[in-house]
Amino acid sequence: MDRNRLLSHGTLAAAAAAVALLAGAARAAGEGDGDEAVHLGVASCASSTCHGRVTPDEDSPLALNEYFVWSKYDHHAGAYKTLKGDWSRRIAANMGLADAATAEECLACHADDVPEERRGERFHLSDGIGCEACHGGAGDWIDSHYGPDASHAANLEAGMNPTEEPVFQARLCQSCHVGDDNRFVTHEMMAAGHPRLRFELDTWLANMPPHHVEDADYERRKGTTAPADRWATGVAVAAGGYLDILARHLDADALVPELSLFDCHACHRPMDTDVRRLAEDRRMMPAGTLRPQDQTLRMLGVVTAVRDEALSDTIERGNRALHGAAAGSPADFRTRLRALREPVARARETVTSAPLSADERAALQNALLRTAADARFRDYADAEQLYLALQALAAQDNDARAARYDTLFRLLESERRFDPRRVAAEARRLLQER
Amino acid sequence: MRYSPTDARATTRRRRAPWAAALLALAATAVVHAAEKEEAVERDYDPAPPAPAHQSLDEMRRKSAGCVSCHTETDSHTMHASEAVRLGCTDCHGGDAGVEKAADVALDSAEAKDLMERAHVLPRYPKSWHWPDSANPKQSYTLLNREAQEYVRFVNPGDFRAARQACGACHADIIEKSIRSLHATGAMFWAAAAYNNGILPYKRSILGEAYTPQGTGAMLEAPVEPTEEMREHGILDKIVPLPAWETVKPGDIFRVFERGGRIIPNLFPETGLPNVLGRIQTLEEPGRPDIRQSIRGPGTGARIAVPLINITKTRLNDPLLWFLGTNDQPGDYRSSGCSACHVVYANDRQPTHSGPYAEFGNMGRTQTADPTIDEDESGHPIRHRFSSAIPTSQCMICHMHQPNMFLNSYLGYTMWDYESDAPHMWPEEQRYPSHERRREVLNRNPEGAAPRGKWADVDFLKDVWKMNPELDDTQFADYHGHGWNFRAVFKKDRDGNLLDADGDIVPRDDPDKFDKAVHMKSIHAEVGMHCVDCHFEQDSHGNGHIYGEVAAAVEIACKDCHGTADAYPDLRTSGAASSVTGGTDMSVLRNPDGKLRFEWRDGELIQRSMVNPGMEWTLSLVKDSVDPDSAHYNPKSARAKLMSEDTGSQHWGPDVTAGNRAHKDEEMECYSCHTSWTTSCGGCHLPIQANEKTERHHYEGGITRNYATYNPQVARDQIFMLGKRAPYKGGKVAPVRSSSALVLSSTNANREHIYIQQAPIAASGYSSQAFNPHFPHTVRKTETKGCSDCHLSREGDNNAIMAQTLGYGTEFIDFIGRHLWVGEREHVEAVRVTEWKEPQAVKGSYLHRYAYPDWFAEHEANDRRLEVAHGHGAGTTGCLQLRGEYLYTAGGEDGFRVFDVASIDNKGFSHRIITAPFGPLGHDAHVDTENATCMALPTTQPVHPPRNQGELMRETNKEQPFHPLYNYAFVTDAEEGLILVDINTFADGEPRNNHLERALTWNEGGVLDGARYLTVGGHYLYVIADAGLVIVDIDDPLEPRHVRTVPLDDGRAVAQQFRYLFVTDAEGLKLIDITRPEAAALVPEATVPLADAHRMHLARTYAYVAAGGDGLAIVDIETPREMALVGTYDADGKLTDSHDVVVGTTNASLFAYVADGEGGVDVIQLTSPELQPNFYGFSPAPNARWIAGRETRSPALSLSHGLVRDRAVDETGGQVAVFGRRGSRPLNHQEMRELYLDDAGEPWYVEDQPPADRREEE
Repeated sequence: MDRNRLLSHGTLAAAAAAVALLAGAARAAGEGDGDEAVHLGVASCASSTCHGRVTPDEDSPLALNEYFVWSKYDHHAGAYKTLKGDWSRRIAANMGLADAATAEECLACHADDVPEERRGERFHLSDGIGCEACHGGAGDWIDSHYGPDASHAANLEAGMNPTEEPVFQARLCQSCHVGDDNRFVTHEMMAAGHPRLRFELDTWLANMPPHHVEDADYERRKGTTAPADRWATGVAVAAGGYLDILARHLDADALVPELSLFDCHACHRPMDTDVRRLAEDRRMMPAGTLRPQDQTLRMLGVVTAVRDEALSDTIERGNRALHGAAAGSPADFRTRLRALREPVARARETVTSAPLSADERAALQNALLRTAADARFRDYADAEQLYLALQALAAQDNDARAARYDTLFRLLESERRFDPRRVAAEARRLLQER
Repeated sequence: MRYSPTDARATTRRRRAPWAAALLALAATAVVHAAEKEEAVERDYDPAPPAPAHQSLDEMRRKSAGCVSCHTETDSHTMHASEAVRLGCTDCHGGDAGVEKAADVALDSAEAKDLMERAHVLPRYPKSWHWPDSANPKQSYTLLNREAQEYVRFVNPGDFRAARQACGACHADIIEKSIRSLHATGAMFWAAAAYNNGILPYKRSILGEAYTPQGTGAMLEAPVEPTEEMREHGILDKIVPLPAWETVKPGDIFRVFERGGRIIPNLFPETGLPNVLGRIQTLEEPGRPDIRQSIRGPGTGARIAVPLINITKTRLNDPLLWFLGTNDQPGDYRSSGCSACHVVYANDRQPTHSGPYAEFGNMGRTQTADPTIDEDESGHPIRHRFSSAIPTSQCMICHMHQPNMFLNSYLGYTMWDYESDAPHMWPEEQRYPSHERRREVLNRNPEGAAPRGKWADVDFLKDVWKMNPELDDTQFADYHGHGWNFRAVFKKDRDGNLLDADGDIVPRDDPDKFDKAVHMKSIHAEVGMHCVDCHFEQDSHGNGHIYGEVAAAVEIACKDCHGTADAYPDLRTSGAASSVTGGTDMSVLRNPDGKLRFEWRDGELIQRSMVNPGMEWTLSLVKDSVDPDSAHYNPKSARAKLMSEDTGSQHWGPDVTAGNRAHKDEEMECYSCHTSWTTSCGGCHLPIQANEKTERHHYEGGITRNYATYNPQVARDQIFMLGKRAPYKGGKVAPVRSSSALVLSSTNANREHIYIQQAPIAASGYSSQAFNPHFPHTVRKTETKGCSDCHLSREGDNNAIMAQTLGYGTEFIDFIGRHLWVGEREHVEAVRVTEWKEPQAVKGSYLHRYAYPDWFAEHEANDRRLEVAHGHGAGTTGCLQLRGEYLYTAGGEDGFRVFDVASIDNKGFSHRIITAPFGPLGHDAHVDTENATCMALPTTQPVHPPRNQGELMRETNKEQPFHPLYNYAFVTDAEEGLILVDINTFADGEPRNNHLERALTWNEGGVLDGARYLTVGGHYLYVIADAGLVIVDIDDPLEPRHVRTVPLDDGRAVAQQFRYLFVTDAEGLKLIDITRPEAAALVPEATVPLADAHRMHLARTYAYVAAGGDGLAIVDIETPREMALVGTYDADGKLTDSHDVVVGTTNASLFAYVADGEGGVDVIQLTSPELQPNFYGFSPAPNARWIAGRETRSPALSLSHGLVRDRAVDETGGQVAVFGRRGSRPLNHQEMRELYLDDAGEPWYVEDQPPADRREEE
């Protein structure tokens, strides 16, 4: 995790901070990417007369250097190239794959892997996560999306993706960074060497870095979303998404369930570790039980509580029940899982229904720290999300004191030496400091 | 659109238009040559709006609706590869898309033709365009300037006159840049021609080409006023047009331009003079020259300057982007403006040159889907589609001029010299082309020789390349822009043997020798790179600033892709024109196929081809090449790059820090070593002929008198020189080339040669035998320059190489010219030794036999006697030297005398050599001395030091000062010693001051008693006197200093080659080491005994000694300390009393000229394709053959040296010749010494192959 870039988030977001609007939700929610268009390739956008300028165009609503920013600074541009590297070669070998760069399961997230018939003349898988992977295939709108008559609405109508819309963003990004029906980093991949996934929508978008500037003109055309709201949307969508994947993978007829859906550190630790289970854990499940990767559910619980404590309780109880069921039968686990889906969906509605107010954000920050202080964020992934959530809130409020989370950050430096008790202690210290 | 359907009735040739075939003959005869006047058809044009940046689909379709009813298919409707573009036909072309042909109307019907006339924009000059045929017309030049801009836009929306409208909505900035780029302005040519030849004194060009949309000449102003720093980077304030070249003053101030004298009534119209007969000019004061040929001179009449005629009338590099290609020969097919590059034509069948377009032939034919275009007609693009996959063959259309451009060398070719494989290229029967035929050929090909050669015929020319398997001497390229032929350059040793990749000799009789020998194309070309793979968008379009020098306008540099010994490349451009904010980021560039151009992959940097989809190559990384742990480690590379400055230990390795390295990145261009060969043009002959009325190719066009053909004289490939880059290129050491040196001749309306073969003087007073530092574009991995190309070899065998490298010249490509100038016991004489027509073959030579079989036969029938000579009585002429239009002589008791020989080839004069053009009271070019035994000029190139002074020269033009010794002639007198005479008066254009007097007489302590011969080597005079060889330092010419005397036994002559003097005395040929002149000493072991040695000529690794009764002695001096007699040649007894010899090159062959006392003069061919198959070597072994001779009026004693065409600088760093590029220069004395002397002044030596890997030893 690049701390400097995380911290620089504050200033970036502050520039854009205005009234948070969750716009364009109509299209975004639900129906998949729906992209059936031909993907023409990065080069079709990259001309210096289009989006390929090196320096921003002062006279244009768009900077027109989007390609340059993506190409130079955005790791998505190198996603495919990663598959050509030594590390990927090792993973492929471990998995018995001939070549990561041609394996469907790898290309799914490391390239814009549209079917052959939807690739234009200048389309190249090697461009990784190119323009059209997010913005949608340009085949139907490349000749209409610019010019005096063009509008964002018309572009969306023509099939361009509403990448400014937070729920869409969350789904889009998390389709790889968390996983979805089509793309998923399995335990097999991880066992073969794939790094653990970590993600938080707002931070990751800010660090991408964005290739647009949210100025007044941008806001007029596309609206803007505040960091905390993007964070909340990301959490909510991710929690729902997690349940979906979990449900699907439970249906699989396998000796052991898909282990990557469970907390890594539940199993992965040296055998001679001096185990000290937290009370929270002891309450929920016996030792040795697979522990679901519930960090987004926990976050969702906290943020929902700001608006609907009952709903939050439901989610937290449901989550606890799910954990408990992990020690029971698969049928029991499925039942608990199904029970959680409705409140989580409702919580998403609740959380994204309106921007978080300043009071709500203050309450949220407090709740996050209090939950941590109570040692209820009990694993590494929880703590990671805690830190990211606090950062997003600080960013939105341009909180110059974001640096006070430095200690928390340092506690995340090593997964191996991670100690949830120290997180709790730090949270208590932060609470007292307030 | 309204129009007058007058005579716009010419027909067309279409693939599917049978009626066209019947009218074909008519069309052919109806073609109006562009040079002829065609009456403009009056038309009213509807204005066509600019093409929009965007529009609806319906609008787009509407604008093509009618067009596609005939042009039912095309290759790309919008011309653009991008799917984002919406353009209808008329958006770009104009015209009326509302005119639609019904499906049942046949394309070849009269109705269809009528529809076409309504739909198309019609030309004002239909015949010139051979309307309605759409092929680019041949040699159209200024037709674009006269034609209505609406029609220009119709035929080529990408033309710069139309591009703002057609392309400007999206590409406005690129258009404005392109119009200001050197590709369009050609400012570098105007600047070089005008400055180097003394026409304009501005090294920062003020001239350049640009036009308004209406086709009139335009001034271009800098978009941003240049700051002082920008000016230092070569950025110009503005460039102005030169609409009529006659308005410049004649830069070349020859005698004929002097005012005054008897007037031959001018046959030319005089502009700016009230009296057409010029009578006003008859008001002459007494005492002016009574010989001159016309009312000419600065400020009078319609003046010409021959070098500018080259630019305006003789096509060399032009036409540039403002005009269409000439579309008449393979290599000349292209459009104008943006389309000139971005629309690809078929010009060349070699894939290295044309990439995937090679398969489409070389005749400019189309592959379009458009049914209305004739696929068998030349002058159409391959497809109706823009491309940035531009093949080298497209660039070659303009970048084909030998001395200026480097696509030839990049591809491993140089200009053919009329000699190699001559039997295949010249007709068996001598041709006598009519004037009409001559004109027809010269309009395509400006070479004066072309009308006589087989390549005058396009049908022969287009398949010259196919003859390659039958050829013995060379291999030709498949491009023939301007009608020229280009021969391949192969890897050779110094003797000229072909070498393979391992450096082994390929036998000449090996049938596959040209496959086995390494073809010296750039390694970049070899891996498949085209120009556009290195010169990206900015290099092509410019950066918007106006430049006058190409080197200043290039953004790419070697290290951008290859890095340095210390760092991997960062893929940012860093060249002279790269942005001050960090240069272009090459890592994001994408190719036409959409892929990244550069990519790091597993520690290697790969580049993908712009032109050949799917092709990629791995770049050599300098850092890896010097890293012993890398798989790419190359000890030779590491040794060169990591060599320390300590010349004693020559220690090298990674421990040598950047600041202590011998070859520092900031002091040397990479290609100072990474150059396999440099093209070196020994000069061109431009004979202007008043009686040829020809068309101007620029500005307003029109036909005027005067035309100069273009005649390259010597194009070698083994001359390597070093100099200093301009400050904007870091002042780094770089290879230097000779560039466009001219010799000029003029034939007036009476067909009198009013001056011949004159080298002009540059505005800076330096000789116009121009040089400049450059990138030769011949980078190779193995065939690089080695240590001994620039430093003393331990074997001592590179004295001639060093003389060449340092720019002193090697007296190998000296230009003897039309006359051999002979000093005799009682006369001076000019003996005519060449033909006048082009090629100016030496009579009786190999070239003579093939170019002029009839005249060669006559010469043989005449016992090879040279028939013409002109003489003048003189004292016993011990030495003489032709320079410019004057002959400088040491005439014994007659003293030092300068003859006026301006009219030597003028049939209007009976007395061709005179002592004065008018009475001796007004002109006295004589210095009386007791016994003038010899004289020498510091250079045989015309120079005029007084021009090189003042702020303009010193500050603005950044010229370094002349050494004062260049003001003088140096005379030895047996009794008086040394006499200096200031001779600048002969170059000042003022006839009334031609009086000579002594500037100095010097014979300190009688050291020069009996002085009889001398040579000048920088600021040292080497004099043969009674005492032996006397060295005199003339650093202050008027305060000579005796340095040392080396005793000789009856010394006769002396010649210098770098560190050694070669002297003759009673014992033969001897060697004196003058590495340190104050310690000069004989090398006793290096003596070649000769019974009667006289004067000598050192031509690279051979000394030619006039050896009295033995004739010509040839001595191998490659290793001076081991010099040895190769043999003597007396021409079957013809040479009986040889006194003097000079050597020079004509075309590809080497000749010796001998003054043989009683025997007269003799011409001996030393090499030719027949005599010495290795004739392209640096110094091929001579194989002498006597080819011509003539008795002289009195015994022949001495010969004038030729024009030393490869001498840029003297042995002590004094600049002789003009250097192009503001602030560039030859190496100075200190810089030269650092290449071979240590701090104590002692020489140190190098070995090309390291004796052992010293690093491993340590």
